[in-house]
Amino acid sequence: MRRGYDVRTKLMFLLVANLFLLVNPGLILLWTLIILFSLDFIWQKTYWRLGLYWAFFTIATLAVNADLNESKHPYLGFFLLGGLTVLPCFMVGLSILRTPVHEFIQSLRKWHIPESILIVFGVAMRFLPTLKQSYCNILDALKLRGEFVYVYQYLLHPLGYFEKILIPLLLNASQLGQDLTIAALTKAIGSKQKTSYIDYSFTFKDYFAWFSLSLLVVTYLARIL
Amino acid sequence: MITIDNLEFTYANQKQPALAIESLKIQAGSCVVLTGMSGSGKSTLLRVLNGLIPEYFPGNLQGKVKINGHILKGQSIEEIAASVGSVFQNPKRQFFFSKVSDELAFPAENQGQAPADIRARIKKAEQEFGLTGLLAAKIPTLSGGQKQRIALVAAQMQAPKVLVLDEPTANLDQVGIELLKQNLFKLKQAGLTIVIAEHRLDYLQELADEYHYFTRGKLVTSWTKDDWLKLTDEMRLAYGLRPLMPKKTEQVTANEATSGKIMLKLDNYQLGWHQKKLGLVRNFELESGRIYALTGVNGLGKTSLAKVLVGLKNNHQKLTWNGQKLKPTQLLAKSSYLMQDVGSQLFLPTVEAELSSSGADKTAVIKTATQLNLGNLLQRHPFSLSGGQQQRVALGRVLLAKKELFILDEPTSGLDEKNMQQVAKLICSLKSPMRIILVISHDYELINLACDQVLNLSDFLVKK
Amino acid sequence: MRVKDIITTGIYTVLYFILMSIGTLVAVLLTRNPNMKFAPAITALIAGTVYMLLVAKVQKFGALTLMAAVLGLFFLVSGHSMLAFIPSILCGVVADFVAKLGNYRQKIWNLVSYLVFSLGNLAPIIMMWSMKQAYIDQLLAKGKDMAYVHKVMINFDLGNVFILVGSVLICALVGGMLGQHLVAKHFKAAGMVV
Repeated sequence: MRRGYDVRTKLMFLLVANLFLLVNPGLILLWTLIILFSLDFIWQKTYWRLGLYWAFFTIATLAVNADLNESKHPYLGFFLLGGLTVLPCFMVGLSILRTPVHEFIQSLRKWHIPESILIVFGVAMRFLPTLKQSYCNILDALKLRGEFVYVYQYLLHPLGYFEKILIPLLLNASQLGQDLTIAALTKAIGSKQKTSYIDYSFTFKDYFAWFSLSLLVVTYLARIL
Repeated sequence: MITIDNLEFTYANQKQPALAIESLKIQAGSCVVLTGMSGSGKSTLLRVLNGLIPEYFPGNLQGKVKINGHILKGQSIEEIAASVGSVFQNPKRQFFFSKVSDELAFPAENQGQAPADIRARIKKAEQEFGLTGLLAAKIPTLSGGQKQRIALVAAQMQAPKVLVLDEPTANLDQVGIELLKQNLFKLKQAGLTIVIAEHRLDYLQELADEYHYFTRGKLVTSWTKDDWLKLTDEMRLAYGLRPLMPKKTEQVTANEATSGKIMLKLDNYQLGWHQKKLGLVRNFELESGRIYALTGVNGLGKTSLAKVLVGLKNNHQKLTWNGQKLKPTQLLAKSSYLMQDVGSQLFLPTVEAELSSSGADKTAVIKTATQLNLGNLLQRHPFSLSGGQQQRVALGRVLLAKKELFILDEPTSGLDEKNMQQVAKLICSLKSPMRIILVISHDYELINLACDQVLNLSDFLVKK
Repeated sequence: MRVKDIITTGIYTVLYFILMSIGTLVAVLLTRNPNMKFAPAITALIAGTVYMLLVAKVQKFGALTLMAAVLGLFFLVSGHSMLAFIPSILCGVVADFVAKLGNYRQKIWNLVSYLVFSLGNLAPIIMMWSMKQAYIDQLLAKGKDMAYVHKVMINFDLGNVFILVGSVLICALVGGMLGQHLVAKHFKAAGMVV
């Protein structure tokens, strides 16, 4: 039971945010975008995260217009402006990546995104936590062999650390790949006609968002053209 | 339901056929067990049945196999999946999704079943297989037994006629095995034909109708259910199969133990796992000169405890070694620990190098390798070996180390009878007043053969 | 490309992505400069093994393109502009073709392929430049003059571009050869690669 925007709507937001990255639309349009997207956070009841984002936006907005001595702090100004335009992209992007895998894949399937890309995303999402665990297990095994127990060992042999962890990780990853492939094949992942047991369709929220975004883009284009 | 005629298969890079069966018929609705030592061809037959051969495992496939009247050859693996569902050995490595209901829906969605039908099937499965309340659970948080149950239910979502299982209990404890058995009964009653490759045969006694024994790819003997039950355990051992009723002894007199020289004690330690509090460990003591078994249901904290003893986790000064408090780094220097995840413990490019990294000399390495049936594999890369072989390599290295504390976590899961006995012998040979040895295991046969004393973790845990 | 190839690509793409993140982190720490100029170079240095492994395992057209596409999408979704996405895919496709010239088996073509692929990682840096322009515009809008701007900005000129591209190419050469060496040493013997 989703309560926010559909993934595809979020992708639209991402596109618009990207557009704003190319040429700064001005604070009003930027904030409109942010507010529109914030609705998703409110609907999903993730207030903490939203609070953090808004805190940054507010500080950045105020600071950007203030009179900083830029030559003394060249990076500060850059970061603030950059942050202001990049953070919407990041905010939307992170939100997309946090979509449950099943919803992500099935929603995008409706847009006929190539199966290979969907499978790669699915595998990537599946693989990340296993990767972390593999890394921990490998490090444990190395410690039992007397390696990388003390901090100095990391510092003196960073390359060795790298090779000794990377190779077993890759070997394990390859084996996991085999197991996953075998399981997926026997579950007919290669079939052409797939259905979804949950219907992820647009709701009123999404239509509202698409409408508002269109207005936003038109206003933006009118301004810069 | 299944008829096999003159089947022969050779893997792509091998010369000898891995499987050669003249004739085999499996009746619809029956439960058939494929057994034999590791590498005898059981898994290969399963792979032919579910289509992984030749789709994923290329090679030379000859002969005729019919499932439900349709010839297998020429069918794509997706078409075969409509008739054959599969369950694999490692519960952790066969899931795609995190949420249970998503994973259950996955095979059905791939087949293009109607959404309403899929939802109905899931609801039905929820009741039939006791999954109430679990549909929204995250699979990684479930126990091994529960994971295998989900795997089983997911496999039947495809509405298959045949279910193929490859050593499904290798990583399960008694509770998990019982759960699997009950679910298999339900599926058999529903009319599914079940084909299982297994080493552990006791849970299948009432379930199985036929047993087929393989040696080096050939079907050598078959038994009906009655024949099988009439065999004595000696006869089973002669075939290299596990005896039927491993005696479940909880306390064995420690009469062979020589008096201990080292004493390890953990007391008043708060055991935890990923922010979950598991209980307070009280008076957990280990002495050198005897071999301990640590038992207890999955999730109790056995692995967590092992990590503390070995120095991978902080013991907060609650651990003493001959009365002295030891820091984790000191414990690490004294310990040799076999972890459950075999793949993350192999680092060197040859079996010989890996075994030698324990610090043992060449003669000891060769001797141990021979005992563990790895003698002719010394120059091979550990990752080119089978799962069971990798396990023995990791175990060999752990046992060869010149350390004082030895902890083995499930050293024989998935090993056949012969290899398990060799492992037991090897462990026994390690006993000495200079070594503390702890074996964490569900394998009661191993415990009977190798261990002097059984400790159940729940006896030492005090829950608030 | 079959399903097993796609899944393999998925797994290695994740690994490549993680190495890329580590590379970026290391670059930022080493140069003590939040300007991620040398991130693509360091990435090229350490990601060679993953790339070579993928090429060796799949040996078909499409894997590298797919990896580049997914990485590009990751860029897009993590806040970089679309400008990062297009060159990334382009380099991926070209890298795929280059490796194909040697049938995915010849070391020299695989190495060149890796060089091309690694250049694709410069895409996010291009984005940074576009943001610099926006910053300049904004400073001007606030009423500062060009002399002030020059004092503030680090100069972007042709020399910089050469350094950037050159560093990536050299690191990719070293990283690629290292990767091929490691693949031969460990993965061939493990039977995971023919």
